[in-house]
Parts: sequence; C-alpha cells; structure tokens
Amino acid sequence: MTVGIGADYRDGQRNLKTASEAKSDMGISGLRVLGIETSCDETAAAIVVRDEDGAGHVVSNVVLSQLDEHAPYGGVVPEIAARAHVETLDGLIAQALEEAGCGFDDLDGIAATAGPGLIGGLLVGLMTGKAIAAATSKPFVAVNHLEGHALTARLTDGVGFPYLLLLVTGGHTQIVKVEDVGRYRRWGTTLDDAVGEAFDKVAKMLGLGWPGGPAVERLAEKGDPARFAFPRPMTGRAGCDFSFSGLKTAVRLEAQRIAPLSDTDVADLCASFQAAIVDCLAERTERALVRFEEESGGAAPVLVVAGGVAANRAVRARLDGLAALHGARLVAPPLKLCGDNAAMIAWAGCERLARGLTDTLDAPARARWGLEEIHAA
Amino acid sequence: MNILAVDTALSACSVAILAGDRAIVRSVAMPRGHAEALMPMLAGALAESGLGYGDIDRFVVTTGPGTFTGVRVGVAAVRGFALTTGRPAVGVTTLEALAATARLRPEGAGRPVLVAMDARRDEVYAQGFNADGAPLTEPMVIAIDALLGRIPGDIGLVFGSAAEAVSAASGSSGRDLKVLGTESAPDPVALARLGLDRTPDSMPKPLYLRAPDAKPQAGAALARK
Repeated sequence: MTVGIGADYRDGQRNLKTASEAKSDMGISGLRVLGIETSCDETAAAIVVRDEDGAGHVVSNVVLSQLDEHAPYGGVVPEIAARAHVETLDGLIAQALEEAGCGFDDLDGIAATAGPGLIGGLLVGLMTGKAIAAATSKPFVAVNHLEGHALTARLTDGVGFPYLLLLVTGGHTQIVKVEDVGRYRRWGTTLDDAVGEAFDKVAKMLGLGWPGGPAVERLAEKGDPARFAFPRPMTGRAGCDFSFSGLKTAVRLEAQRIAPLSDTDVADLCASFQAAIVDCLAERTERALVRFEEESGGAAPVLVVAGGVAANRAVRARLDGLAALHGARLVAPPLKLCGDNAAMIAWAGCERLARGLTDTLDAPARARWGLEEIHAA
Repeated sequence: MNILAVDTALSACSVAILAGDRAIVRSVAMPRGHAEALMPMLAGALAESGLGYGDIDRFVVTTGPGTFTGVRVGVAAVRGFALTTGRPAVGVTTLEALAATARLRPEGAGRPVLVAMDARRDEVYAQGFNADGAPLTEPMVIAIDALLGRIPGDIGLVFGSAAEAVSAASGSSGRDLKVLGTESAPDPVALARLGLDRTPDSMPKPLYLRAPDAKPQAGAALARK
C-alpha cells in the first residue's frame, strides 16, 4: 500500500495554512469541516476551513492509495476497494484530525462523498460520516463527488461564479457551466469512454501497466505525434460532447497492424494518441468558451480544468494556449487536488453548509448521480 | 454498562440498546436499504432509552459472514461511533450471534447446535457450537454435502436460513439433524449480550469467508520486439 500524506504538498501552496493560523483567521462565523472520500480506489480524509468571507484553507489532507492492490488486475476491482476502505478509513480520519490539531468537537460539519462512484466503497465513507455526525450531533452533508471537483477552484483560487469547468477524470469527461453551488449546466459529456479511461485502455494494450495515463504521457514526450493520423471523434460537430471509443479502437487496429512493436512504435503510438486527445479536448472546450462568452455578453471567462487528467502537461499546455487566445483565465488546481481527495469533499461541504444545505442521516449512496441532479438552495 | 448493538449483515436491520436491566430493540426485515434505515432507527432507539451516543460504554456489531455490503454498513458505522466517542467496539460473527439466538429457544438451551445460513452459489455459511456457545468447528463456506462430513457427532440440531436444506440432506448421510429454527438474522439482544461478554481488543473487522471476485489479467498487451 502506498501512503501519500498531505505534508509534501504544503510546499508552495499559498492557501494552505497551519491549523492555528486557520483558526485565528476563522472568526466566529467560519466553518471547519471534515471531508471523507471513498468513491473509487483512494481512501481519503481532510479538514478544510472556510472563512466568513468565503476564503478556503486546507488544514490537513490525507490520502491512502490502493494502487498496489489493484495493479495485478489491470484496473480497480470494486470489492477489493471496498474491503480496503472499511479497514483504513477510521485511522485516516484520526490522522487528518491530528494533523489539523483539532478534535471532533471543533468541527462544524461532516461531509462524505455519497456518489457517483463504486457503491460498496461509497457506503463505507457515507456510513462512517453519518456515524460521526450522529455521535457529535453535527450537521451532515452528502456530497456529490463531481461537485467536489467542480468547486475545488474556489478553494484554491477563490474563483467567482459563473465559470466554465472542463472535468477530465478516469470516470468522467464533462464540460460544465458552474453557475452557483448546486447549480450546474452540463454542456457536454462523453458518449462512451472517459478520457482517463481511454488513456488506461491504450496503456493496457501497449503493455504499459495500470494506471496508464502517466506512462502514456511519459512515452508520448519521446514519440512522433504526426506518425499516425488517428481520428479526432466529434470535432467539427455542434455541441460539446466527447467520444473516445473509436479513437481507442483506431490505436488498437494500428498497433495490431504494425506489431510486434518496437520502443519507437510504442512511443509514436502514445504521442499520436495523446495528440488526438488534446485536439479533441481543445476543440470541444473552445466551443464551450465561445458559448460562454455569448451567454455572458462577452465577459472574459474563467476556464477551470479539474480531475486526474488535468495533471497531463500536454493537456494543460494546450488549454493554456486556448485560454490566452480567448482572453480567458485558466485555473488548474494543484496536482494533489486534481485527483480524488477529501479536501474537495470537505470544501464542497463548507460551501453547502454556508448556504444552509445539509442532508439527513437517511441519505442514500448513489452509484450514478449527475451534477444537474444535485439539490440547490 | 450501556451497550449499543447493530446488525446489518443479513436479512434485517436491527439495533439493541442494553441499559441496566432494560433492553430497547428495533428490528425490520429488509434485504437492502440498511444504509438508509440504520441511523434513524438508532435515533429512535436512543430517544426511547433516554441515552445519547456519549452515554454508550461499548458498541457491538455483527462482522459477517453475510452480504459483503451489509457487513460493511454496520462495521463502518460502529467503527465511526467508536472513533468519535473513544469507547470500544467489539465484533461478533453472525454465526456466533445466530448460535446465541438458537440458545434462546427452550429446545435449544443446553444443547450443541450447527448454524447454517444460505450463502448462495449452492453453498452455506456454517459453524458448530457447543451448549455454551463455544465453537466446535471453524466458520466455513461450504457445499452442504461436504459440510455433512464435518459436523461433530454430538450435534443434533441445525439453526438458520439453510437449516431445512441441511436437515433434509443429513438423512442420506446417516445423520439426523433436526431443524431448531430457520431465522435468517440474529436476535439483537442476544447479539448485545454476546458483545457484553467479550473483551474489546482491536476494531471490528469484516469476516467475509470468500475472496473478492477478481482474476489477475494476462495476455492483454500486444507483442513487443
């Protein structure tokens, strides 16, 4: 098991304060929330503070990755994930509290991911969160995982509403207009594979192990992105939807045609595949930027990119260029807050609590739960 | 000592609070929905008892075998209570709790018993216990035919959701196991009392008896030079 704790990401993160600093900043109306995340293969707990003026601070952020348990299976095995969550979550919560220098009595609320995700894992975090809320008589917030990703830019960069979100993860690829807490307009989504899933599947067929995104990116840097002319699905079409299944199949067919593969072949396949992905993301995002500008009367938009694939440097570089072209500001949360984490869940809890949005302790876990189905104020 | 016990591992959502000589019980048969039902049920039981979570001295939970998800609902909740209150939690297996439930029957008191629950896939979860509730076998997930050869000779009673199937099959192997009861979930007060007798050591952990369904992948990648 790999343990990655919050300590190393304190470097250079301007919004991260020590517990005592955050406490003294907080004033009487600030909120301190425990966040719990167990929707996939990371068990995570965090303490986040929201000042009265809306500024956010990550006080502690602990993540336990299960990568080693799932790697032999070439993907996340839901039952293995759920078994790991139930044996480790309470210890991580204790660690998050200890690092934050606070106890349960100091909390103003408990937020746990209730979906979307793998139901067995979700139930572990949800029940643990409910139990803490019940035993402390503190408010409970059942957080939508996607809302956690969507609101992270407000925690890290204080972004105001509305803004445009490109959410790129192993399970989701969406373009969303974020209008307010709980108010999301989904402009585009993938019709088949998520972009992170496409990376993983290509890595798998090329024998690069799992998870494959970072491996594909590493090899793509050495390869020729123009050697293979892979399709750019959906580009040129109206709307902002994505499709990556045909691209993945095109990579497979080409790889089969030229197999056995040399190191150069593999690098060129990765580079050409990644170039196609980047083109698709950029073209779809540009359409959304234009629509955003039209709807907002020409005001310069803020473009937020979130999710694990936001860590890809080629994706970031292209979005940077796109934002510059449109006079938009690109906000990409630090890598530690791009992947699955509990700080974003705690922050979504803060945002909802600040608006008086809480949930009852009969709240269900939901394997499928779109951003547009979230309750607003 | 005030005890709060939770069982969500099988076909019911049940809670019991033991406070002095009082026992407050809530139990509803449900194949699913434990995650939604448990906290409101506990709130009702606590309100009736006049106690809060801070008044509970020990938490008890069934650890399985049972439905994997149901087991984790109860274990996660009770570990959360223990973490928050700083009070100990103890795990009791569903097999032990069902054996204690069997001993509540007049015809089961003072006699050894085999607990057998339907585990699907043509198997049962089973364990033999002596008259005092001490285990005579390991907990097993096993086909009934194979089980019959492993039941200690002094056991003449079978209890649980697979009791009738085991009893029917026992005749052909020269044993005559009588059905004591076909309950598919333990009595929550019996569960709480078992927890009272235990010495808390570590946090409760699920007892699955089955490995996750997952096979390592092989041969997915294309040939390399």
